Amino acid sequence: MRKRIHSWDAKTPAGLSLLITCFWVFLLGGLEARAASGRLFETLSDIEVTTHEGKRVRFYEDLIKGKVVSINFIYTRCFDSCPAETAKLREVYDRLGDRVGRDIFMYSISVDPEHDTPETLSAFAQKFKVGPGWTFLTAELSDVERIEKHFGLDLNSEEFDDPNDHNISLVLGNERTGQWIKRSPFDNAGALARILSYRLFDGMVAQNEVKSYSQVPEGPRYSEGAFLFKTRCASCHTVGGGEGLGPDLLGVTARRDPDWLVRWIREPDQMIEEGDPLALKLYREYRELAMPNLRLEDEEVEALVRYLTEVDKKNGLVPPSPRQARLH
Amino acid sequence: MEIDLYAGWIRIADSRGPSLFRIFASVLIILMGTSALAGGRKGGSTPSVNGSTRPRICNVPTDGDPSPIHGIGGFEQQMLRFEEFGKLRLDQSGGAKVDAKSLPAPESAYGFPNPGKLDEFLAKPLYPFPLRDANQALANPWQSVIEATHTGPLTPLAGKNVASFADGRPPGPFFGHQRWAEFFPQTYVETVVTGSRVNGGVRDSMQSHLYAFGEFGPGLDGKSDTPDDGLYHSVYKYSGPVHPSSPLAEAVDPATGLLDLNVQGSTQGIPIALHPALPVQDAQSVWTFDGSLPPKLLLARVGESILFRNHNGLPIKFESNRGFGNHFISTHAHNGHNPAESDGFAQAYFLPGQFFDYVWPMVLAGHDTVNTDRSDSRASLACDPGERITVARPGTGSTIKQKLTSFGIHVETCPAHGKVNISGDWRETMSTLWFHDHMVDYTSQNVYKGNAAMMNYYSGLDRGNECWNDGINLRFPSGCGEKYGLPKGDQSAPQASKRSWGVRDYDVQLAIASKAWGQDSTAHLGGEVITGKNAAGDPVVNDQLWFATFNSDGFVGDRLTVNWLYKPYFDVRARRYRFRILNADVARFMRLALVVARQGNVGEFEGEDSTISYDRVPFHMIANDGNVMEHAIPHDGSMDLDGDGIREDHHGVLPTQSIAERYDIIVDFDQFGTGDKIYMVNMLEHAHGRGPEREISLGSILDGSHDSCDSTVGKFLEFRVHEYAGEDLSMDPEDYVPGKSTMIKVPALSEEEIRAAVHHTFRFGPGGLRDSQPRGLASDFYPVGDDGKAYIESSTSPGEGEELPRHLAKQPTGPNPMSEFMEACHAYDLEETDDHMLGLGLSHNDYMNKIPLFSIAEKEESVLEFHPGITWGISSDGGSSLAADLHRVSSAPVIGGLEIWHLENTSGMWSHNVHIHFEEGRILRRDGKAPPEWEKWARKDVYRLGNMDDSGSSLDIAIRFREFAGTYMTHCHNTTHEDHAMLMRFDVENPGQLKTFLTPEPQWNGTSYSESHEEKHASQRSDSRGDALGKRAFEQEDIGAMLCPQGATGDCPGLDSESPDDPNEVNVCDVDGNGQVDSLDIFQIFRNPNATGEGSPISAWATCASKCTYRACSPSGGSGGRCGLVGLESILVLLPLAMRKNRIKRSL
Repeated sequence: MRKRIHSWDAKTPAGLSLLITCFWVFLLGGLEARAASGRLFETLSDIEVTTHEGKRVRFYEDLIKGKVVSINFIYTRCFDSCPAETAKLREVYDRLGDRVGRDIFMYSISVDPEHDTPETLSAFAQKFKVGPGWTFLTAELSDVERIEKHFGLDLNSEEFDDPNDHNISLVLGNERTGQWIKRSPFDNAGALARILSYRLFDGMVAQNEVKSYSQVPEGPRYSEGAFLFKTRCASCHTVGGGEGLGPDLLGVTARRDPDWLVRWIREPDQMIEEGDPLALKLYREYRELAMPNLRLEDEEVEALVRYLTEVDKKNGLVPPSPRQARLH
Repeated sequence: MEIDLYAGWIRIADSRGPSLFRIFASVLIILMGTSALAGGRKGGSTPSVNGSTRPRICNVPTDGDPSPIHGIGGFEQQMLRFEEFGKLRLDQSGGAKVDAKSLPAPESAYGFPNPGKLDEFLAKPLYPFPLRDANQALANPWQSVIEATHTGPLTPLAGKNVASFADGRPPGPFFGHQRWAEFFPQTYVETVVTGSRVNGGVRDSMQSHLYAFGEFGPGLDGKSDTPDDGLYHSVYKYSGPVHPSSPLAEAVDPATGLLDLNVQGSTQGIPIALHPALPVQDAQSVWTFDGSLPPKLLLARVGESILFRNHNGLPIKFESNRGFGNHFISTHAHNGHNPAESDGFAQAYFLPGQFFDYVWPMVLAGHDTVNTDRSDSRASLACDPGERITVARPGTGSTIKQKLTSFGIHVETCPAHGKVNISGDWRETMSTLWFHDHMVDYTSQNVYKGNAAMMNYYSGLDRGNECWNDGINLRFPSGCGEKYGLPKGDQSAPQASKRSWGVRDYDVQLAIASKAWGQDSTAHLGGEVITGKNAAGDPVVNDQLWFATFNSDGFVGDRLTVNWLYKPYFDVRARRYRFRILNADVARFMRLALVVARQGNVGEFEGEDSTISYDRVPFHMIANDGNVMEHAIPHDGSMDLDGDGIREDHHGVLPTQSIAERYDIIVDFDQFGTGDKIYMVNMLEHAHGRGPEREISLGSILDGSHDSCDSTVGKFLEFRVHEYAGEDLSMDPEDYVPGKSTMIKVPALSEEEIRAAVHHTFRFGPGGLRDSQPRGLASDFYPVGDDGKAYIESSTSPGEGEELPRHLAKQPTGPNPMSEFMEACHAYDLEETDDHMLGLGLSHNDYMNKIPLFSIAEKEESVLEFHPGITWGISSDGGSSLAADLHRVSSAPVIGGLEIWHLENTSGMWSHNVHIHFEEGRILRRDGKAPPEWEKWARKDVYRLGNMDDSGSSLDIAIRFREFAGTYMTHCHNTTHEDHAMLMRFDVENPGQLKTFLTPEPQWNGTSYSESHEEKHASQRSDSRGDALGKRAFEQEDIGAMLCPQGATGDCPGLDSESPDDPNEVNVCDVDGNGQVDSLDIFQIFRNPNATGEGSPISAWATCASKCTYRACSPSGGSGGRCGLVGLESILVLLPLAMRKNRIKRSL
């Protein structure tokens, strides 16, 4: 005999209603029961790493568990991407203020542990004027690879036989809630800071500088050069705002020969390698933190120089000779 | 070995970074290492839980073990049909008398609202009444719980008095409803996205069929459970074992230990379980609309504005999600022609306790400019005679302000013919859509978790009543909407039937998605683990759904479900059916086939044993991406649909169907006898989430000899044929195949309109976040040109070639091994696997000879891992490949404009299916060639790129942006790629707009806005808008040929031969018979307009204009004759050109 559940013209059998209720009691009751910590990182629980301060710590227990973290992978011998990436993250670091080290923790893990000793990492951190709460880590290469793989950031070693080629995606997460987001370190620093400081806390932290709709001003129309500066250069430089990781660029078009400036923006790595005296001077002056080659296109360099020239002109700083910056 | 072959160019290609050299060197190493697999994939396999073999390369389900099925054989449970939301009339007087109500709050931050209270809440009228701008007066009804258990005291945003808002829509006019008074919602739907619960039957009385009409009804006797019940009066049937955790377990017959269940005339009591023998999914595992099954369906009408109020009834704590899914949500109406504030922008999400009012005006695209006098009854709202209907008429005037304020509202009584004409282009009529979550970074997890529903658009053309014979209704299979008894097909008084539209008896949604369960879900939790307990006090967390959250390639499940059920069966009548098939997966592509089982060894394909064999089931595809096509595409072997010279390859087999693509098909079960069984089969294998691996041949699937590592390959849905006593009055799709009558024509496009278009080029590929691309905004690791060939960059040193705009960089400098390699891979993909070739009657050698460079094993492996673990990006107009940033505008079409978008896949072997929000496009070219029949006659919103034979590397599409402005998105609809972060924002702007739209930033205490910025070539404010080089290159091509591409017939899409819409348009024929409709033909006509006689230009023109068929068009009688449609103005423009061209020709 079939058991009918039929309620087109009749009500659910009392038994089933009760059942449904019981089921809900079971479910809702269950929801409050909270078991032990999750096991998402179980496979990494044995990994120990060394900080740039020389401390030996457990990767999961000491650094990740219960925390809001940002994790990326770098190596100090890397000439272009890692400095650019680190400079960009430093912008995020600045925006987060004293919350880094308090309730947000930033980790940069070396994928080149053979070279990157704690001392090397410490020097690297100093170059970027990194303060508390942002830790550079080194570990056994096999362990680093396990960590990369865990976050889905491994480049298959069969395909990428250069151990130093690595995925530079940024992992942002809250271990306690299990909320993890992958982003590019080159994203808008404000957006990254917002994820770390607000979204990963599930909005539990009061927002600084929140504006209501009516308070948002007309968005500025950036010239191409200004936009490039804001997105590519501002991690390290200001124009009239004082020294950052690199020099204040106010007056740079008056100070420097235009051809030199253009080339310096385009291929600083080449100029350092060739031993250009001014390039070397700057390199030494700024803690041997080489200006990265950002692979800018000619027209982008042109736009940047145009922007810097405009700012200088507004401030009464004029290039030594009136000739236009010329591109080769 | 091959490695030597390539050594030379490898060094040239890359002297510095790793990229190309290592990728290809390592691929070759992989190829060599796996050559032991030559001849098949049987080596290296390990037995799986369910006994099938899994070659070691397969990672399905992604990063996990097979989902346990506990001996479930399949086809034991009845398929659930979608449950209608039901629409209610919105009180047009302002809702002053409505009682206040608020979303019941959960007890704690980890919990869900009480199900009983939720149903009470849903049953009450809408409150608060909707406003144009977000309601800023009411606080979030959950504020006290949020503050007490989650955030602590909330502080109001600057300038605000309250610290939280019930209305989650961003405040102010930016997210105010556009044209609010004009498209004021006539109806509304209210729902809550919440955790899994048992269906309380709250929507039973809101079903259009009321479980009383037609096949949903109890039959003439009015009583359920009698032999004359309609076929779908039973909502769910199952006989067999049941899992002890299920609430259904109590109903088990103690004698047998089995459940014998038949839920009739109601959805009450249905829990969320993929199969009764599997545990019920708990509230943290599955989040759906209403929190219940069946999945939900919205029946909408073109011309009738809908308010969709969606409440967020999810836990306040993020971690109350069993390891995946985000409790912040945004609902995207997939390709509705909707204003941006109601499109579900990923950054306009709303929070637990809040609601979001989406207003979907349901107007036809072209509302403001086409058929504004409402004279064309093909553009019409389907109504029940006597019903009061309110429709909008667009405003007039020369300025935008005048136009937007002079609109008219018509209130009319629906006439006997059941249609009220509306403004807009009838060719933009849509039919099968869906809506789903679009939360930033979390779309994949949320959709996988259940946040998706379907939506049918009904109209005068496609009204969902096959008896309605008014000359406009296309009469697709649906049933007739009669109240009692089975449809009798009484044609004498069809319009007296109760239900004149939206009949679903024989019009069935099939939402297909792969899921995975059984992995210990606690292993995927970062923090709190929620553990339910059964009666014995033991924890029950087994067999809950899970998701690999760190995977960036795409999460593919290993069990295919239809409408959320694992391997169901579905009863059908022996008559025609319409199936609306949605790929509701998050990362899996499919290719579906229909076969019928035959007794004995009589069928085309051998069965599992000698007692059974199979034949293909012919069907017609009538809609692509939910848009009814110009022609029904016969999948019966009668036509070569894709120009490959083979007819059988699509006999009973659909094209590849990527995530979110909808295919509507008509199947005639009348060719079968009662008791016959028809199966839907998935032929596409995934080995990982980056894209489909290969097609498995039908023969090897049906006889069980295939060696696929993917357990979703095979039969997954069984149709059981029952007798049909009624008369099938639905249209015969055979009357509408190419060359015969037309259904809904694609929008007309003219050559001059295309020449005036803005072009954008978007390239989908790796975001390339690796060292060697320090901008982090990397270019591609190998570029692929429009022709599908790859080109090596001449050098990696900056400034020398590498950074050249792509159109300059891609010029080949002669044959190179790289492009040959790519070509070989491409050819491989075009031809698919050798067994497929054998299935087509081609020998192994035929196949091998096409690609001499590689062995079979190498070819099989060549589509394997190139580059795992990367994130994804989109480059626009020659710029860098960028990961999503919702503050960045990558293109900004202006309202009213036609644009040509070039979509390219730079990811080589990986598949990306590009979804463009808001508007449908027409595919002009696929890989530089004419698209196949199912795209030639179609309007699309998901564009497949990738390694399947019917996909490819590049697409040129024409797309118009009309009526509404605001922020939309384009992204890969492999939602994992989308989340990591192959997504870009595009804004539709008002003409002359001075700044970009702001970006909303939602939070618990309200939404603020931040500034947006735009890419260099994005907007009308740029002095170099769009891809100028792309435009120039495109315009060198024969645009006329693109508008009238080669195909199975010589007909041209969009051509209105019988009654031109525009008196300024004339048909121009291939007068000179050179195979193209071009300016030469125009010239011929004008040169000698008085010539008469057979074959003369003017007679050919006249013939063509009266009946534009391929024969009539071709005076030479050859096979190349075709027709084109051009505007009269363009003739005047083109005439001098024609003369010039003619001179050139003569001089040659």
